Amino acid sequence: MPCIDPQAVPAGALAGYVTDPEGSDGALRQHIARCDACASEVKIMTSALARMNQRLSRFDCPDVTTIDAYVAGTLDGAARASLDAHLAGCSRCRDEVALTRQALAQDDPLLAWYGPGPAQRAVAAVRRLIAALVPPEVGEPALAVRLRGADDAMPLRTYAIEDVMITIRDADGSPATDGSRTLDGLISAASSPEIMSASLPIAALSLASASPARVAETEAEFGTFTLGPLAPGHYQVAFTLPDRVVVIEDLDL
Amino acid sequence: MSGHDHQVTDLPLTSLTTQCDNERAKFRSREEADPRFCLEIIHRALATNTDEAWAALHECFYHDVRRWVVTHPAAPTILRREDPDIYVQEAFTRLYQSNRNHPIDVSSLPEALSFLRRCVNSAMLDAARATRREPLPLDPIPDVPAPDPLEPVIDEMSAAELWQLVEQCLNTAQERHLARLLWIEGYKPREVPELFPDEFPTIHDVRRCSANVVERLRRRFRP
Repeated sequence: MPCIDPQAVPAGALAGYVTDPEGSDGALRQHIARCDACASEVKIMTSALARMNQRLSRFDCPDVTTIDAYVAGTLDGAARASLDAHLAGCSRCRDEVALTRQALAQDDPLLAWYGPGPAQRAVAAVRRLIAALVPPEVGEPALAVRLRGADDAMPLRTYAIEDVMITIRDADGSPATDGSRTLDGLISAASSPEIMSASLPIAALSLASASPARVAETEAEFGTFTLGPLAPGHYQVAFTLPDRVVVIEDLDL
Repeated sequence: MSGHDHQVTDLPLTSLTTQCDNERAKFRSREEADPRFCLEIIHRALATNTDEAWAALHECFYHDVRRWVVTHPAAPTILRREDPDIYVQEAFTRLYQSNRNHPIDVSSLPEALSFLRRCVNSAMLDAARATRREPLPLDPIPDVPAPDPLEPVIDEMSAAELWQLVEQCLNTAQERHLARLLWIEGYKPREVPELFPDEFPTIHDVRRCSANVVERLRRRFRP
């Protein structure tokens, strides 16, 4: 079944029609309506593209629980690095990370209901320690203090008190368009800060700001934590550990 | 575990449910309130996996989960066509399945409820993905009977194999990016210039680029 008017169909015209029918010119539309051969070809190509679309849809994207764990800060280093690499090239997953951050940042008093039980009363009596910012070592490579290499990335910050070391980094490598940043980090025994098993359990994590309305969500689990998104400003972060409360008094963004 | 905790763990589910409701009412009134009854219901469901314990958990936290569903940032899109209760149920199912795969150990009510809220989030993200995956209605074209010779070819391949084949027809980084946006990420051609105006300033750029790729694919599949 040949085309009734091959001159009306330049090379690639049917492919263009299949890609975006609404954008096709009227003459081509009329030709396809009259020509069984071209209509048949369009049908086959449209069907094939739709089938291909179904098969390829998000095929290489992580499942949503991985996205959720990424935001909650519970992915291990390798999985996190792998997802970071994927996020660099996948805007749908970046959107899902943003949605998850937004969803988990919504304030809900129930999620702070620790109650007046003995454990909570004991926490109130534990020591309160102020962690100090540790200056970066002289000559430390830029890569070590500027994760992901973005020019506007916040340098890695390390705070310490007694045997506790807290490292905080810019989770996204740069601020969002509204200037806010999401931070993540690790609280660990200072003797072995790189070892996950040395992470200190965080019983509660609280964030305070001079502008209460701007305080965002915190998440903590297995020694890792996420703060934000945080608008530029001055914050105080308190980590409640089983035997003490460690406070960063001056987290400036 | 204190003596009081022993009393909590010894209570029957019906009493726990009542106490949980009472304490929640106090909590809402900003009175001193004890979350252990509510936490014990969650512990009981996770540890025993009985229908009764899960029903109690559902009863106590249904309204919280529903609130998280309807206020989720993806809700305006998802709930246009669906009842929120579908996702409430889905969140509880995810909690059940997650606990069955890896027993969940929570030591406080906020920790337990944070986990449940993350189940809501996962359910909503999956729903948003499914919404985008639904096929778009095809442009009306004459009803010409045509065999679909590509159906078995595409169906026999895994997604990774299919993408590998598509990649062989991509000549530039721009084409590769566009193919990913259209076929993996599911954007409509007209959305692309809005998202990537530097790379694809107009819909015509998208059309030209994608038509080239589709034409190559056509020749590849149907020489």
